[in-house]
This record gives sequence, structure tokens and C-alpha cells, in this order.
Amino acid sequence: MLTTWINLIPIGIMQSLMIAFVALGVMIPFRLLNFADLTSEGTFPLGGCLCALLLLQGIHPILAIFMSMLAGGLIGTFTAMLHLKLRINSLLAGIIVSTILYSVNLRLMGKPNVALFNQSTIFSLFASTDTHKTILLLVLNALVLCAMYAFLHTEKGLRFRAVGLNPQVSAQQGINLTRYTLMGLAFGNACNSLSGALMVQMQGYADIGMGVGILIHALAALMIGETLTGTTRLWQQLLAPFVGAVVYQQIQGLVMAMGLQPSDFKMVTGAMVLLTLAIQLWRGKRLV
Amino acid sequence: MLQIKNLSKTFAGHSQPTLSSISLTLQTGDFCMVIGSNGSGKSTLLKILLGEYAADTGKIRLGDQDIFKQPLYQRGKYISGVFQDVVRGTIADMTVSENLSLAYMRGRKATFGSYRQYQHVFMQHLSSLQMDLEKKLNTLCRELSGGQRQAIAFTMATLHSPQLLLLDEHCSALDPKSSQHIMESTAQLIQQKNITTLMVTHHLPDAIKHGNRLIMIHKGNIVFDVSGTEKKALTITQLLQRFHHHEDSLLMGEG
Repeated sequence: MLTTWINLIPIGIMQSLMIAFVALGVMIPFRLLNFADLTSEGTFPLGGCLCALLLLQGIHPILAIFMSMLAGGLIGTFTAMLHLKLRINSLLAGIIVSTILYSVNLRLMGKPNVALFNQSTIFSLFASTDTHKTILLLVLNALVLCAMYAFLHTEKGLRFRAVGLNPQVSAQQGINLTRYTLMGLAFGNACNSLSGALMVQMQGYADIGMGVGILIHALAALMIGETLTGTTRLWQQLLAPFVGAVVYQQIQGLVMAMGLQPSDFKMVTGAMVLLTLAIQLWRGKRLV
Repeated sequence: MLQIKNLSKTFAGHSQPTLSSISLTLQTGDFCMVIGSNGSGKSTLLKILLGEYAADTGKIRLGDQDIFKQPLYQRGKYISGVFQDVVRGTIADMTVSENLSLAYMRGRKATFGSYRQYQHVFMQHLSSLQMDLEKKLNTLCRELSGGQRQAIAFTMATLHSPQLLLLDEHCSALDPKSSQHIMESTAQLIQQKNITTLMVTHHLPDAIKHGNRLIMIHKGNIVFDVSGTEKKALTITQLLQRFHHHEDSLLMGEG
């Protein structure tokens, strides 16, 4: 069992370095803006499907990633507008948009899955071995986290955080809440789509079902991460999704090595989320 | 200059208007006390001016702008408020310095520059309060006492002189000593910076001592309005008499 698990570690780390972006994409609206956004269930596969299509069109893989992120970001602002202008509960808005995106993704691809054959990906271009892929993904994570950390220390970033912490005081300070909510949902969902696009380039195909359960997976990762890193300082909060994604993937590897089927993972993930919530309650530090 | 004309507000489910056609003009630099019993409509008036509630009808002009339909955040650029509820003045999970930075950036576009470059400005403002707050720039606001948080809220409200300052019993949730200290700093700064101010208070000695104008609101109307020397000559006994006069009429009217 142990050897099976150890064999799974490297692939698990690569997987988690991609999923870390969804965990970050869930964390940004949820923790920094106090906006529970479920759109990742739709923008993660959107990023993947769109990226696959663009690659098939011969678009450069880096450009394909940026275009996927742009699409995800736009969808994020759509969810935000549903909440802000139509006064729809944020959770419901996310579910509605994800549901719509399921059909959109299917339309985009024209069939439930699309395989990439000889299209170049960022991995085929810049990282051929697993070690190189891991390093490339680590660098990407570091870049995004550093950019986010730097942003949160600018004037704009300060206003962004203020909106999440206390909308009433923020409005009195002349801050346009709508603008910063749109910005946060765009950031978050651009991260979700980035993750989907990386996943597709890594595995060589896009599948309509790739987003199912991704939100709970990301949430489990986020909560495990927050339990490990703490959340008092900004850098801890930013590091939590990354750390959580890596650790959670290893827990999954362990579970798989114990003989559970991949189809059991959703159950395991759900149980994991509930367990973390229970632990937080007992420790008196409930975050959700 | 603030011009309020025929401002009315009736809340859903209420048979009586909370404000019935109130008109009030303040000149630049006027420091106007607002008194009245609970439910008279004085806090509603402030919340409408702030942009938190929308009035049903009327006109509000501030300077040369019509602000009647402006949302809260747009008015936030030139109207400041400090309230009884300490939680409403500062962001608890941000440091003193971060809170003050938000106030310092008010009314202009935020940049991609660091917000930490204004600390020296805050040091000056805080040290003039003589509460040792300049040593607490990196403390989270939730860790401060009520009086300290209110002092920060007041500093935030006046960091850039607002065109209109609204104070809603901002000293009443504090212990007597802090309350008096904040009130004295408030009066001093308002005078020094010549800020047009409306201040709601239940503390009649403050209403007598400070300001150049006083209005009493009763059942949504301004029933008493004094300024200048007349205001200066006002005593607490006279004010109490006014209060009783209106309270009695209220009782008789309802009896």
C-alpha cells in the first residue's frame, strides 16, 4: 500500500499545483470579498474546453491560456452582476451560471470530449519531464501568489480588502462596491479557468465532465490549507489554497492506495469538508 | 453650503411620516446641533443626507451640486459621518494605518502604488488628539477601546475636510472621560477647519456649549431653530422647557 502511495506522490503534486489555482479562485471571492462564489464549477471546465478548442485552432498555448482566463473572468463578472443588479443570492447565481456554462461548453466543443493530438502545449514547449513540469507549475503558482500579494498592498488592493471586510464603512469612504466586487469575481474565475486550461494541456484532452465536484474539491483544499497555515496574516490566507491543494491531493493518493476507487473520491471529499468544519467548530474557529 | 428643501420620508408600514417636509439651510462653516426625542426623525435626516436612506421627495443641494439621487459611495467623497455605533466608523480587521489610508485616498482614484506611504501624515493628525494613538498605527482596530476607535473614526471623517460632516451621537457610547475628550477635539477641529457640521446629540450641555446654531426636531418637523447670539444665550432649563412643551402636546394629542 505504502509503495502505491509513494508512487502516486509526484503525479499528485503536479495535479495539485494545477488545482491550487481553483482553490485560490474560490478563496479570493469567498475570503477576501465575503462573496461565496460557486461559478468555478462552470469556469474551470470552460477554461479547459476553450483552451482545447483554441489549441486545435493552432493558437499558441500561452495565448490560449490568457484567452481562457479572460473568458473565465468575464463569466465571473456576470455572476457578480446577477447578484448585484438582479439581487440573486450569490450561491444561486453561481449555480445558475455554472449550469448555463455546461451547455455552453458542450456547444463550444460540439461533443462531450476533445482530444489534443500533436498540438503543442506549454508543457511540450517548456517542460518535457515530470520534474520540469512540476517546476514550471511551481513557478506559475509563485508568480500568481506574488502578484496577488503585491496587489493587495497597493491602494486598489486596500480598497478591495475593505469592501470584503466592511461594505458599509467602505461605501462611506467613497469606494464603489460594485467595481471591486466585479474585480474580485473576475480574478477568482480567471484563476479557475487558468486551472482548467492547464489541466487540459497536461492531460491532452478536455472533457465536459471535468468540472463536476471541482468546487467541493477546491473548498476541501482551502479549508485544510487554512487549518494548516492559519489566516490571521494576509500571506497565510494567500498561501492556504496552495498548501491545502498539495496536502489534500496527497490525502487522496493515500485513500486511493488504500483501495478506494476514483469514483469514491467525491464522497471522501465531502466527508473531508464536513470533518474539517466539525474540527473548526470544536476548536472554536469556524471559518465557514 | 447645504440646502435642504421640503424633504419628506415615510417608512413603509408607518402611517405618520418620519420627516414631513423639512427645510434647512446651513452656511459654510455652520456647526448646527440637532436635538429631539427618540423617534423624532433626527437620525433619519442624517441617514438621508449620508445616502443610506432615500427620501421620498424634496431637494438636497451641497455646494453647487444636487445630491438627492447620488448613491452612498459618491456622497462619501465629500460627506463624512461618525456614528454612535463604534463598529460603523472603522474596519475592525484592518489596522489603524490601513483605515486611515482608506480615508486619505477618499475622493480620488486608487493607484497601484503602496498605501503605506502616508504614515507620517497620520502621525501628525493622531498626535494632535493627545491619546497616544500615533503609537498604535499598526494595531488592528478591533483591539482598540471604544474611545480610541471613535477617535480614529473621527480622524478618518475629517482627514480631508469634508464639505459636510454628520455626527450622530458619536460620543454617547463612550465612558464620560473619553466622551468629553472626543467632544472637545471634535469642536476644536470643526472650528479650526471651518467644517459645515450637523451634530445629533442627547447630551444637552454639549448642545448648549458647542455650535453656532441649534434645531429641535419633533415628529418630523423642525420646531425650534436658533442661531448666533440667541443660541449663545440659551440655557439647559429653556431647552428642557421646550422639550416638555412638545412631549406634553404629544401625550395630549395621543390621549
